Order: sequence, then structure tokens, then C-alpha cells
Amino acid sequence: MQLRAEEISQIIKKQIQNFDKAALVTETGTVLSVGDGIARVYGLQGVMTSELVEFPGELFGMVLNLEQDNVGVAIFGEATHVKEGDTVKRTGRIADVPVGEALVGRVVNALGQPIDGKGPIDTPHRRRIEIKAPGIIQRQSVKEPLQTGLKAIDSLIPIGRGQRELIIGDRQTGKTAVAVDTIINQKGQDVYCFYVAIGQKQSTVAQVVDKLTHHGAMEYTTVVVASASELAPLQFIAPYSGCTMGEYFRDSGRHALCIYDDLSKQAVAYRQLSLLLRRPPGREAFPGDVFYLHSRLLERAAKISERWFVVKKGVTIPKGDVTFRGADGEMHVGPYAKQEAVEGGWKLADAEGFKAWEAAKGDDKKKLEKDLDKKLEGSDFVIERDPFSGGSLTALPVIETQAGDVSAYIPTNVISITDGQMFLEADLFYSGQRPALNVGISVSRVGGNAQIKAMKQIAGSLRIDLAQYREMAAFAQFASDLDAATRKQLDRGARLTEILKQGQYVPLAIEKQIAIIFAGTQGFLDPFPVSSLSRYEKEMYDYIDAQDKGIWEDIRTRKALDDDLRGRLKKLLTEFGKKFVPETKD
Amino acid sequence: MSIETVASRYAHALLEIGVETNSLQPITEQMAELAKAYQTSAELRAVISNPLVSLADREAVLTDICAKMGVLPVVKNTLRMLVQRKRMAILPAMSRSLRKLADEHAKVVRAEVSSAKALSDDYVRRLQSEIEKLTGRKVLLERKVDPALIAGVVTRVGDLVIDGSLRTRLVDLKAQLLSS
Ligand SMILES: Nc1ncnc2c1ncn2[C@@H]1O[C@H](COP(=O)(O)OP(=O)(O)OP(=O)(O)O)[C@@H](O)[C@H]1O
Ligand SMILES: [Mg+2]
Repeated sequence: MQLRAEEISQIIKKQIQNFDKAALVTETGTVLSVGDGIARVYGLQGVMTSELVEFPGELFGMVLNLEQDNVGVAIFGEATHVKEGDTVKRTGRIADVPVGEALVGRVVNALGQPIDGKGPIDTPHRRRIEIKAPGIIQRQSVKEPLQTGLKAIDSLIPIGRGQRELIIGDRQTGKTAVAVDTIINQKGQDVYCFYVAIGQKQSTVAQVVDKLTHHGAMEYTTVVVASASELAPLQFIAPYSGCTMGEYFRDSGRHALCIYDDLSKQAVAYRQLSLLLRRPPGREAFPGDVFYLHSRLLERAAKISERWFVVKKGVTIPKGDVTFRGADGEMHVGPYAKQEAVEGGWKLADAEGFKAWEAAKGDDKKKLEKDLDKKLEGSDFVIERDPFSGGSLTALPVIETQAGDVSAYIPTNVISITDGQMFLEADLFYSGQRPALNVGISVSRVGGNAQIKAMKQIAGSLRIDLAQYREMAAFAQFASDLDAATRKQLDRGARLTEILKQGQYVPLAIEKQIAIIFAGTQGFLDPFPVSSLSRYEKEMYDYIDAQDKGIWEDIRTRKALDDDLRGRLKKLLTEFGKKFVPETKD
Repeated sequence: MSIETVASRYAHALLEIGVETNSLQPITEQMAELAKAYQTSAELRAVISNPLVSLADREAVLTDICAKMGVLPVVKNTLRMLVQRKRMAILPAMSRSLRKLADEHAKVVRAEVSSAKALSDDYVRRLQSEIEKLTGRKVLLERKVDPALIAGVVTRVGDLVIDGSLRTRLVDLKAQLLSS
């Protein structure tokens, strides 16, 4: 924002006019000791927990421990110049970050300050980093899908908007890759993405930002960085900062996706802080509230229920105002809110007709409904949704395990908090199965409701085939000769496993995923060698593009695979199967 | 237990002794002086808390210091006990805690007024009575001169700072101009 010279003098004039205001009253304290980014401060009576306090030299800290006669403060910066006896001032402000559209496309630190050299963040909004999660009344169950663009995930462990799905695995198993692909796949989906990098190397984060920029994903993404070189307090608050930025969109009726990469490192930073604050250590030396550290963060992921109102024509609903009531004196919330609002409208438009409808049954009821709808249209009432309702915040936390041990403290905690988990395994990764998803033990507990119907129809048989394959493959290792049925099962399983492989940065549209999985589960791949399948997949998409491009649109919009679509798909796949030449083995 | 908790227990005990023997004020002051000596002299700390020096030698050092400073026997006993129990590190916290308790007991508050130039006695008297009205307690006012304030007065009562200095306002003005 550029200021003109006269604007500047205007500002200065105003400031000078107000200059002789009352003296500044602040509460202060004195530094008792300082070290390892933690200061103990004497005084500061009345200070609140997580309040920001100011040290000399414009250095800020956050109050973490309130003790009998001193407080423990985590310092957000270089604290070498802070010494015993220094004065610490209260600010009265709880730690907060800037939020809003201005953050989209930016790279910021845990305090929301830009670190991408693109100038200041111009937003009037700020929000506290610790906000209570929405209550049960404000929530609705997950129903819209959040497509990751990864075949293995969208088919077998679908994710819904508002869900919390854990990405867990050893180091270097492609955890970040899954997260980044998911962000790339949100292009044009009206989902604002937040990638929070905690305790990672600067170079790794720079690579991720590069990739996101290269794939055009920074247009709707914010990256929050608290790298390995940053102080523990910043690594500790970074996920909350990112979450707060996402909540701004959730609470204004839009959709957000937050990725916390990774929470193991956040827990380690928190353990460091806690030990320095002399909080009692528990299992694995983590403090007792490390569960709450993650549960309160992940609880903030939610699908917000829609709010519907009956209002007089021309009345605009005050956005996001939960005290507002419609013309029928009600606010309709929950899964049936819209229908309830319509009924409220009927009642206002035609009270008698509404009574008759309530009493009626069967076909009569249907007929009356039509009449009432017309009446409502003719009346001066309309049904409207609060545009700030119905938003969502999806969370994909990442946890790193040691040698696949999911029974360690932090993994078990986060597994129990989330609505499911994707297990990435080093063995699978090295054997070339990438994404290295172990589909046997990965689950999505709520996403099924959000999966589009066509995918649901074919995912069932995929899951069963794969399960049988896993069971048999274990036995087949010892068997020398196998009966034909078993052989067939094994062949099918090997092909299905093969088509779930997917490269990085090539998320696939859901309709294409459906086509290839349909081909696999219906046996269209059985005649071809496993090694030719990646080429098969690519050429098959091209073939359908050329022959019946409309089918993609049809699968997407019809959502379910009806007989017509099945027929068309089968025809296309049969024809393509005749044309496709797998490499000849020599 | 944290140092502060331990220190406040010792301080409570000393407070009671002080009240009973009617010598709270000298005890508080002497403890403060000793704490200051302990904090500022690295040599003293190195000897007093050093397990390699025998307890008798350490007590001898203490006795000498106490004699020099002319402290009350109860203060000397307190120190000897701290040395014996290896608790010397709490001395500063204990003195701080005792001062707070003693102030509360005597119903006084400590205040400090800093100004760019020395203030007139009349002004200080008026200020003192204002603070006394505000807090409902007797005020022990300390004066300080700090030319860096440029003009105006900064008053500190306990944790509360009432800053009417020109310096602070200029700093504020700068911050506001930069942010808008
Ligand atoms: N689907 C894939 N196909 C091919 N290579 C992949 C795939 N997924 C990940 N990789 C590669 O594997 C390596 C590790 O991936 P990534 O950095 O995502 O793992 P990580 O689990 O996040 O690792 P870290 O523990 O270091 O954070 C990277 O070099 C990445 O390019
Ligand atoms: Mg990673």
C-alpha cells in the first residue's frame, strides 16, 4: 500500500492532536532468570495465560506457566540481550495472528509475519491462535468429499470435508508427498489450503513451496513455517496459527484444508518447553497434557452445519450472526435445516394449507406439498441460507513413527483423536509400491458418507479382492502348485495392487480413478502383464478421451454408476483391450 | 519443589519470628543486604555452597561476614541453617518473598518515581498522598532521576507503571506512524 505525502501529514496531524492523552498505564514484572528461550518473571500480577508480554528491544514472549509468585514465559526470538532485572510489560493481548484472504499465496512464520519477501500482509483481521473448537450444535456430520487425487486413498480410505485423517509412517515414506498431492488436487475446488511445516529443514520447505508454485497451487495455499532452526515456542504454536488462519474460511462458509507436517516434531518442541518450565515429565518424558496439545488442535477441524432461514423478500441475512431469527422466529440448523425452513415458509405462506399437509398422508401429502411450494413462491417469503454457514476445516496431521512403531506415545494419542489413519510403510515404499499405503490397516471412519456413489459401488469389490489377495499371497509363498481359482485371485490382486501405484504431482480426477478401478475389478486387466499396466492406464485414458469424452462428465455429474454408464464403460474397455499391445517379453 | 515455594516457606517462618520479637524491619533489611552480597559476590557463592570446603570453615566465613555486617542472631542462625541444609541458593528468592510479606504485614506499598529532572518536594508529597489514596496503604516512595525520559514522570507502584514520560509517547507515536 503506497501512501501519498499529504496522507502521511494527515496521519501525523491526527496523532499530534491526540498526543496529550492520559498517561500510559501498564503492569510490569522483572526478569528473575532467563535461559533456553524461557524467562521466569516476577510480578506481572493479573497476567493471563497465553498473554503476550514485551521484553526490552521489542521482543515478545508468551506466558505459559502461572505460578504462585512468578510466571514462566516462552520467548519468541533471540533472547541473548535479556538479562536479570529487566522490565517486562503486559500487553493485554492474547497471542494472535493475522487472518483473511490476504494470507492466500503467502509464506509466513508461526506469528503470521511474511517471510517470502512479498511485502506486508494487508489485512484488518486478527484472531487468537487458541480458540475453542465448535460445539456439537454448530457441527454437522461430514458429507462432501475432499478428493486427494490419489487412487489408493480416494477409493479405499475416502476423506470428507471436515474430517481429521492422520498420515502416519516412518521417515522417508512419502508422507509429505501425499499431503502435497492433496493440495495440488484442490485446484478449482474452492478449498483454501494451509501447509504448516514444523521442525523441518528450510531446504525441504523451500522445495515444497517450489513444487506448489510450479503446479499453480500457491494461488489458494498459505504456507506456515516454523523450521528446525526456529525456537521451540514457535514450533509449538505454528499448528495453532495455521489452524486459526483456516478457521477464518471455515467460519465464513468456505472450505479449508490444514496439513500439519508433522505433529511429532511439535510434540518434541512442546516437551522441550515443558521440561524447561519444570512441568513434571510423564511417559517418554512428555508432559501430562501432551494429549490435550493435539486433541484441542484437531477438534477444531469441523464441518459447520448450515443455517437456513425464512425471511421476507429483500431482507438480507446478517452474515454469521447466530442470534438472528427468521420470519418464523426460528433458526433452522442441522442436516434437515433446509426442509425445516421450507416447512416454516409454507406455514407463513398458507397456514391452513400447512395444517392440511401435516394431517395428510401418502400421495395426498405429495400433492399438497406441490401446492404449498407454489404458495410459497407466490408469497413474499423466501428460504435462504446464511452464506457464512456450512463451511468446513479438514485436518491432515502427519506423524512420524520410529521403525513402524505405532504404539509409541504420540502415535497412539493422535490415532485415537483422528477419524482414521493412512499407514505408509517403508517396506512397501522400497518395494516400489508408491504411495506406500498399507490398505489393510488404513481406515477412514467417517469419509465413507462423503464418497461419491460411483466410487463407493466399485470400492467394495476392490477392498474384498485386495484383502483376499493379501491372505493368499502369504500362503502362496510356500505353495508350489496352486489351483486355478487361487492363481486367478493372485493375478487379480497383483493387478489391482499395481494400478493403485501413482507418481508424485499427478493427482487424478475421480472419474478417471473410477475407470481404471472398474477395469481392474471387472477383470479387464487380467489378460495383460502387470508390467504393462502403467502404460495401459495412460493409453486407456487417451483412448476414452478420443472415443467418448462425454463419459467423464457423465460419471462426475451422475455420481452413481448406472446401467448405462456401466455398459458404456465396458464397451470402451473391451474395445481398448483389443487394441492395446503389451510389450512383448523377450 | 521449586525454589520459590521453598523460599516462601522460609520467609513465612522468618516473618513470624520478626513479628513475635518485634524486629521485622531489621530482619528484612539485613536479609536483603545479605542476599545482595550473595548475588553480587561470585567468590562468596563459590565458598559458601562448595561441598569441598568443610562445613566448619564455611560457618566460620559466615560468622565473620555476619559480625562485619552486624546482623541479628536470628538472621545469622537462618544463614547457618541454610548452609547446613544446602539451601543457600534460595537466599535471593527468600529475601524477595520476605520483603513482600513484610510489606503486606505493615500495610505499605513501595513506589518509585522517576523523572528527567529532580522533582520538587511539594510535588512528591502530593504524588505520595495521591498514591496513598489510590491504594489505601502507606507509601514508601523512592525518587530517581533519569534524563532519558526527556520530560514527564514515570511512577511505579508495585507492578503497576503509570508512564507519563515524553520518551514513551514518542516511541508510541513512532510505532503508530509506522504501522498506519
Ligand atoms: N508416489 C511417489 N512416487 C515416487 N516417488 C515418491 C512418491 N512419494 C514420495 N516419493 C519420493 O520419496 C521421497 C520421500 O518422500 P517424502 O519427502 O514425501 O517422505 P516423508 O515421509 O515426508 O519424509 P520425511 O520423513 O523426511 O518427512 C521423496 O524423494 C519423494 O520424491
Ligand atoms: Mg516429510
